[in-house]
Amino acid sequence: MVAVEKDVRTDELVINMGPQHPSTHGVLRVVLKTDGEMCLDAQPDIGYLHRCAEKIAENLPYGQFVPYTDRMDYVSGMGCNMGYCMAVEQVAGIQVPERGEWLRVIVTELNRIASHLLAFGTYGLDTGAITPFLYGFRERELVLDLLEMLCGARLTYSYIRIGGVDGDVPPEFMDKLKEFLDIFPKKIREYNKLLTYNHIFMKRTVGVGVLPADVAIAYGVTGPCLRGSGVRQDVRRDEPYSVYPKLEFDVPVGTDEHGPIGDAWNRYYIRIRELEESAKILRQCVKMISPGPVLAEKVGRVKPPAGAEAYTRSENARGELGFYIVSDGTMTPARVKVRAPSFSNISVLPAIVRGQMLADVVAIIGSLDIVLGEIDR
Amino acid sequence: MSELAAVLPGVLEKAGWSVPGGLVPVLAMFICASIVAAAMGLSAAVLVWAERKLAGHFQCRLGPVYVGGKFGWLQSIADGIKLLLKEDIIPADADRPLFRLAPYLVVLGVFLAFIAFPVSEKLMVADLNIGIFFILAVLTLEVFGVILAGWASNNKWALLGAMRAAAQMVSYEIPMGLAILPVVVEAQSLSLKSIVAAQSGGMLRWYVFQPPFFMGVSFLIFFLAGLASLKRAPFDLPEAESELTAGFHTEYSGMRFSFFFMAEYAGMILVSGLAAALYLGGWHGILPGQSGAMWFLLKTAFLVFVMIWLRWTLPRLRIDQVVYVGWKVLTPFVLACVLGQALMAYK
Amino acid sequence: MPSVLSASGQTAADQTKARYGDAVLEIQKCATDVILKVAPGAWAEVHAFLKGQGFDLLVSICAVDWPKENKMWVVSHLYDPEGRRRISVKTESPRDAARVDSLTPLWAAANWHERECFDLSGVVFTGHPDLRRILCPEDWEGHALRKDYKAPDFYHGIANNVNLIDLDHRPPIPEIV
Repeated sequence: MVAVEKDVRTDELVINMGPQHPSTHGVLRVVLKTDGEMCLDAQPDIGYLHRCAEKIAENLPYGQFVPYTDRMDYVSGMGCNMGYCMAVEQVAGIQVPERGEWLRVIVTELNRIASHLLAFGTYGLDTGAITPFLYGFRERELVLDLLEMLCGARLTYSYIRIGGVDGDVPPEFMDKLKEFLDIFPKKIREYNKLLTYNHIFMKRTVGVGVLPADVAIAYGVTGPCLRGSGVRQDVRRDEPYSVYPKLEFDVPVGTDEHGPIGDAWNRYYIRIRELEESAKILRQCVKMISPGPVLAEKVGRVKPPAGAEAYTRSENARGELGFYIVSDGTMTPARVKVRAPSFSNISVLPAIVRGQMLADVVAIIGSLDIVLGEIDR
Repeated sequence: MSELAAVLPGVLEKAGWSVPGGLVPVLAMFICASIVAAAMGLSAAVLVWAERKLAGHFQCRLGPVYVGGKFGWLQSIADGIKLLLKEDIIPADADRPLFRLAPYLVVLGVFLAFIAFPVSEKLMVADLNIGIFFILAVLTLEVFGVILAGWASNNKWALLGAMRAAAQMVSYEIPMGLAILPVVVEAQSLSLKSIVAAQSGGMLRWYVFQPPFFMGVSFLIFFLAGLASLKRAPFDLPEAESELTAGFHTEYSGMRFSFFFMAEYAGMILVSGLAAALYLGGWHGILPGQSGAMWFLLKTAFLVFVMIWLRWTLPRLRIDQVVYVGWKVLTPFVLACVLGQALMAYK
Repeated sequence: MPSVLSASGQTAADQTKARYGDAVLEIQKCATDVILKVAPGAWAEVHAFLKGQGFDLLVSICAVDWPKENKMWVVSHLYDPEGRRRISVKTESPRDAARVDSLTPLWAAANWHERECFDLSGVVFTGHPDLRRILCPEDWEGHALRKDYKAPDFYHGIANNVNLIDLDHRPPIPEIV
């Protein structure tokens, strides 16, 4: 007689997700511990893209580090340019002319739109819908064309320089921008129809990966991920820099209209609402911008006083981007510390992934919208 | 096939070839099999092209445009040649015999099912008296191939894909099989030829439009379950490329990979064709008296189009949701339909 | 361009000074922040106090190396989302014994920031639950952001220095165990 095996032992399966995996948004590696389809633990492993940009900064004159900054968050390079330049201007005491500030806000907001459109598209991909990606890219193309008019580059711009911006906009830029702003609201409605309120999409994201506000703050999560958890925090509003004090815009936060606050759907939807807010800011900018110089005079080679230090915060597409610069009185900084939003945002992953399904892990990573270039720097 | 076997000796005589009488049925079989295989391969190629072209237009782009003129007609052929020439990689730790066997099993299931595929009254390899039952039975072979592929690859993602495939297939074979029952009850036959013949006389005689729409509901269920058993979006979990890299065929490359592909596309035609034959009147036209293979192909093409349309629009479900829909939504509904139809037949 | 918010942490800094007395060595000011300079031993206490004051968000932790003075700064930046205040805490220790208490019990965010700081600057955080390298591979030698750091010429047989790439005489690639 065959003995019946009553104690069937099951094992946890350790799966290595990444660094080459379609949904880790770069070279992120996540060590997953799964029981069948359930995910018991996920440990992110980062550093595959580490170039030690902070060390490079210490060996370069201040101005020459600008092109390295847009290789950090390569999806919204303008924001990184701006964060770094603001920090240098603080330590060196440089005043940016008015039009320069307006142009900075215009390009960073445009870049935020491009970045959020990418996040929208890839989030569709993560949940298995392929077409929204192309729809998002269709409008992103228009934005990139606009940015290309300014600096010739489509991804790594280095348009924002210490003391202002690289040059004034070409004459047809503002008209093109207005054209884009006219068609954009219609496109956002299209995204909502196609993906946001899709029944399957909501089934996949509502209530998934709930990140409570206190956990988010404990992990230093910022940006759309924190706002998705219902915390109304935005550096542009809380500590307005540049010309943001003159601009009116809302800071959308997560709601419990469709499910718990702080779930993947809320994080996703915040980005869609921010598209509208960015467009609103741009409309005001187009109206309020006035002619004038765009670059501070006599910036030359920056040489801040010894011991000067500054930590500037700016709201990048992914959250609070901080640059901490310490000067030792030479032409090169003594230390440049980059506080990358994605770095803190991805560190929360193990806390919210436990007990979710394998497919949800992908949905959660996608909703955090990370860029590995800035995590690894 | 029997018709072919009947005319074959005459044709052979005219050509001046002498074939022993016993070999004629074998020859007929061989010819039929070749035609089915060729049709399957060709239709898969056309479908791949159609899908890429349609997907392109759904996504505000053009799709293939270069190979073979303006519309990229020959794109699939070029892809096929590329796949044939590609290196066939078998992972070092894979279970080699099973790894090799899996793609053939997958294709075999679909291939066999085409034997009872009712294109028109004449154009049919064999009118089996248990045609629909036979098709469902051999289609199930495919899942063995998929599970073998996932298991033999010795890859965790592939294994997960195979697990999902198993869960999904088990959940959806049942509503799919049950959805056919109302039609069988109505037509009093398992032969596809008689099922289609019973729907002659115009659009209103099609089973899908028969009040009180038990068969209409089971048509929808059959189509959905068919999508799931084909692993087409939104039920493409076994290969979910954003979760499992490529699921059960992660480790496959070259021609072996394309076998999975071919089986999927041939399966799309099969399920659409079956749905057309069972519910949409097969080769009968919209108006009474119209009939022909054209109608069947049109209906099949339309259903295939719907499949492509769904794939490029919808996000993917999660495995628990897929199983939930299978067991708790489709199965009870289809059981109600079977019961309803049976009660009507009893009266 | 002086920031309007540079003084927002002043009250909190004064309160900390009053509470901890000599442990707070100095209250500095820079263009953007009020900086509390504290003794290394008071690092965790001061942070705990500030967290109690509403500075809920640990924004960053980093180290600054000063080889000439043989000093290593450890700097943290805090933010109070409710009151929109910001403050920075700085401590100074000898380069070879750069060591402060871990802030991980206070903020989960400190875990990764401290690992990064350890990885790149070699600051040891006592009491950290999992002080491993985070960006560099685990067997990497040296701490890149120290000023006297020299990048290794070879890493597992991979030439790091362009001048050393010699196709004829490459060092043997170690066996992967």
